[in-house]
Amino acid sequence: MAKKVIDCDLVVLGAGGSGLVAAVKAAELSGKKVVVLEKAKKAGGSTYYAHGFGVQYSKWQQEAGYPDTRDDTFRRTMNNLKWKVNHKLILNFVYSSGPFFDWLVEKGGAEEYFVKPATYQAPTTAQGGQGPGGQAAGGGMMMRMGSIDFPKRHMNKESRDPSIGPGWMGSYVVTKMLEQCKKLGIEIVTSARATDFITDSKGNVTGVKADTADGKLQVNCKACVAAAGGFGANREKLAKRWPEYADGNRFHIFSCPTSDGDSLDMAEKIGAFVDYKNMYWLVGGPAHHPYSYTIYRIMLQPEMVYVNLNGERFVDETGGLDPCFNPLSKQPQARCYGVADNDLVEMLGERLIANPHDGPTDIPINKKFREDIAYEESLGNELTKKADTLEELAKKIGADPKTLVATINRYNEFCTNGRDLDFIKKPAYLIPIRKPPFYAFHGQRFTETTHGGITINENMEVLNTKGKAMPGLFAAGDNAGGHTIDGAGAGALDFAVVSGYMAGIAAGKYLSKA
Amino acid sequence: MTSTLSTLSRRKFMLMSSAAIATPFILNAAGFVPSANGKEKTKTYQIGSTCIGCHSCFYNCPQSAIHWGNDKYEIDQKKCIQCGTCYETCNISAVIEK
Repeated sequence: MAKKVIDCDLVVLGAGGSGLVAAVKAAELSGKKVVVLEKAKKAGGSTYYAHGFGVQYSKWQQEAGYPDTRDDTFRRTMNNLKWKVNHKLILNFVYSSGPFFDWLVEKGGAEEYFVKPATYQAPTTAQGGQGPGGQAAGGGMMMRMGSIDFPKRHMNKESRDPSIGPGWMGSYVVTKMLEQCKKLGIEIVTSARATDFITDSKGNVTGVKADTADGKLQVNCKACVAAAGGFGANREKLAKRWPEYADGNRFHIFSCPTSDGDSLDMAEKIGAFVDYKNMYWLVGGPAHHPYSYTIYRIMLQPEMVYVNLNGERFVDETGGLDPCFNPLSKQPQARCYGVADNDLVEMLGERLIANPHDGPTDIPINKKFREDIAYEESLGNELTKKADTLEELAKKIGADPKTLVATINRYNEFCTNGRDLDFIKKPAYLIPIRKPPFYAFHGQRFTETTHGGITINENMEVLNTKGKAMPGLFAAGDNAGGHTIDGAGAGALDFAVVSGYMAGIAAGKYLSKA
Repeated sequence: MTSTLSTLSRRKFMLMSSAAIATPFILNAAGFVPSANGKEKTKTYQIGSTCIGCHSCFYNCPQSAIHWGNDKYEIDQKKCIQCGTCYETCNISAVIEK
């Protein structure tokens, strides 16, 4: 087996959002040689499929008169995380997102992709997080208050309506960063799986060993950024850490298949403290994911009626992705359908067009939502069902017609009486299901990825088991601990790219000094 | 032109818009010009269980041979012309070439 050796100053593990941003920023700052090792055949990782991220107080927002909400975000995040994490890290993170976005805009082409925020208007109370994503922690909107979202995703030619996939914010970051890598001469070695760190007698990282298709590879370096992601795609590791969810039922994984947590093992081997206890696994459901984003949003409205595959209700639909997840896990096959009648679909569609802020994201739905529904129905698979009678609908979703009719009749009775005796859903959301055609939208559980693991300090340096920083070893993104997503339905990509930016600055400074 | 576009089905419209960016299938991974008669079938493509459902292959398939199966995309081998577009467009190497 041939052994190839590459000498460089900084090696980055993982060519996803964090890794590429860290590599570009460090190369810019220090002018040193940077090499990125990527396990997959292509760069991008899970970031390539990610939605969007919130930005706090960037230049664009300042120009549009947005208030400075960074301190509020800091307080809210710390309280949500019960002050379990390094507050200096979170403060740096909150204050770095604006500069990161400004830096991204400097790379050019941003105006074509994003809409510059319009002049700021204070949100009305009607918009204050009444949506299903909005109930968590004082409103999902809070996460995004004073933040830019990216409604112009259709500018990217690869973008279509689906709720994930190329064309969203993540793929924009990846594409931009790959451009910069080319410009700065950063080498990206694909199909190279890093296996071990090489350390000197003092414990400093001096290199990385990797396996490639052509044999062993050794990269000698002065510093390293571990940005290889969590283990969201490794079912064995997930089952070990969260045995309660390894029930064998449907569980859609959005992590790219190479997210198997190798970097956690590597860091643990050289004495870093990997905090499995304080890791967070982002799960949710029922979601109409990964299909039409428009139906996904309609499905999440509190007026929908969720029924399991037997045709029975099982939860108060107001809860949204987070609270409904556990009840859904207990249903047959962990799948369900959201049932609505013609009037309800019309009403929800029109409402989402009029008020896109009703939920965790500001990304508007497809205004021709009826086309989306008709299109999915025409595919003839499990995604969307339409029928003129409830009996027919029950047959299409594989439920017992009598049970479904009884469920809906009971629900309609609750609507008439103004009280949901089963799940105590708020009377305001009780709308009867009466007018054909009836619709059923498929919902399932999903997981994005795991967050946390390798503990870091506020300078993104990895800490060992004694809590001391390991010089020259940095971590960023999903494999870095210290920031667990705060449950408001957004924030994974925020931390991925912004922590990459912070690690890039830290590594760049470290290399300039060395 | 506008009226033509508005009468197109969503699927056809998407295929049209993707035609400009998809790899032209005459310059595919396998390096041959595919033909619908199946004479040049040298490689087969399958979608592995690591598919996350990002729709890249689905929207780029020139034959509409890819459909949603049980929690992942699947290729209809009867329609597939082995052009390799799915293999090229999959960013996470979930399409297996044999």
